[in-house]
Amino acid sequence: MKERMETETMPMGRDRVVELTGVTAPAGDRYAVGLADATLLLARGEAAVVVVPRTGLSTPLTDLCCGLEVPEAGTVRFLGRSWDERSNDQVVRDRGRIGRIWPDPAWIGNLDIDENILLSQQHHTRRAKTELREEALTLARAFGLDDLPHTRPAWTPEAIRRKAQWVRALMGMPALLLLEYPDDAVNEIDHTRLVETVERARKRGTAVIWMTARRDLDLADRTGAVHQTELTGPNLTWGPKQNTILEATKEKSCE
Amino acid sequence: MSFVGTIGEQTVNTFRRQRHVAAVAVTVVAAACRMTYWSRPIRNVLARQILFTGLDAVRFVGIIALLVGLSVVLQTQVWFSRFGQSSLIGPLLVAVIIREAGPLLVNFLVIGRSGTAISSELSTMRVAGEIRLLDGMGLDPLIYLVMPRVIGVAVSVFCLTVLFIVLSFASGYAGGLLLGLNVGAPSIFVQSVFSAIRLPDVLNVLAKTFIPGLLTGTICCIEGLSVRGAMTEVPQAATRGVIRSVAAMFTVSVLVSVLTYL
Repeated sequence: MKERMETETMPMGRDRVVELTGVTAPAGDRYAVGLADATLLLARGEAAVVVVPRTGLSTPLTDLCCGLEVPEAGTVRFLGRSWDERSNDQVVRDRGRIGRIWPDPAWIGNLDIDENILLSQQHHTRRAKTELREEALTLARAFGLDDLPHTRPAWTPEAIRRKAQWVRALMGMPALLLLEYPDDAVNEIDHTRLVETVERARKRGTAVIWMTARRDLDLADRTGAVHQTELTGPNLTWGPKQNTILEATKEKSCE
Repeated sequence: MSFVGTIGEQTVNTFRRQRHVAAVAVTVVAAACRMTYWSRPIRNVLARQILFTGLDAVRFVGIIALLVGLSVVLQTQVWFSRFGQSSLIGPLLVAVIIREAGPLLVNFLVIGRSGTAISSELSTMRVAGEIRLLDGMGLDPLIYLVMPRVIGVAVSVFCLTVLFIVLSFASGYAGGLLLGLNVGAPSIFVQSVFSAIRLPDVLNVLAKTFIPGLLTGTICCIEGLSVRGAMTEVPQAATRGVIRSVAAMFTVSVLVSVLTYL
């Protein structure tokens, strides 16, 4: 299967957050769909929406963006530098600037949910715990939670865990937000809350890649996305805001 | 492959594994010396590890120390008093309890109690995908998971050994008093023990607690993180961690003892 993404040339002077140039990454054991010669460019405050059916069509896109996967060919740059140009200390420090909503699993099992939420910020910054808790609480309330959950992930209801993931991803004004299916089984009220909060983050300069399985929502318009693409089975169709070309053939059967 | 070839291959593999353990242990110690790595979550993990391996084990180690004190120290006093060699009680107890029995028994207890827990916990985290999650959040698993556990185990083994030595001497002396033996005044007993302690004995205890502690933590972390993805690998990792930690402990113990007497 071959996938190809191209985008129009970004004007010089804009702050590039994430940049994939001619990236090839095979599906391997972990993913259902690989990337071939993929190019994508997101600057500060830009968003890309990728509509991908959830079942079995995982891609290495988000893992590549945060340097967890090494491309077979091409380069992935984050904040202007390729991941493989960084030392190990720089890699972990810069990953601290990425907020991410993971598919599964998403929690450290021997920490409470609130400890999980604060973990990355406590590790990467010197901000006071009270300040971090205050920020987390503000975000939690924006998503309709009364308080931060103080229970272990295994004992916390799925709906609360999902919102807690939103809080964790948005903590500390990340440079890049990687949202993998944040809106699965989410009602319209909560979905609107999430879109509005992400939109606020984007306006403050956060770049956003939003993967969703919900084709019914006009997410690109609502999030102000400059890129939108859709992967449906072996073929790609183009959303109204396409300036990204993505050619794909399936490497694995996903049905 | 021939019989000799198989032995050669296993020897090379063992050597590689030991080299890997040594490299990780040295890396952990070097990283632990950098204050920038000790962020708040990592200090929390260290505190929890010392709490679990050290503080939570105090009662168990204390009971074992009392029993060892009653059996070893008491008998030493009885027999040496009978032969009129009371002056040798101190040096003998230092050689038996401080140099050998204390560090060995405490290391055994820590391997059985905490080594298995570390291997199981980390391998479960690996199977559940939590290691990748940490990596994705910018928390280096070596720094966040391995370093505080290794340092916590080493510090706990040392502290528990000191406690073990003190309690075993105290219980041995108290047992002698209760049985009506001619154990002398407490100050004389303490003095005879302290006067027998030399610098090599102190170095011996330090080497036999910190080094095996570091190796136990390192080996159990490596075994835990070496699991690939099946839950059935978790108990296997724990077993490997225990066996290799015990082997490392005895190897270090013998080497240190030999160096002490050279």
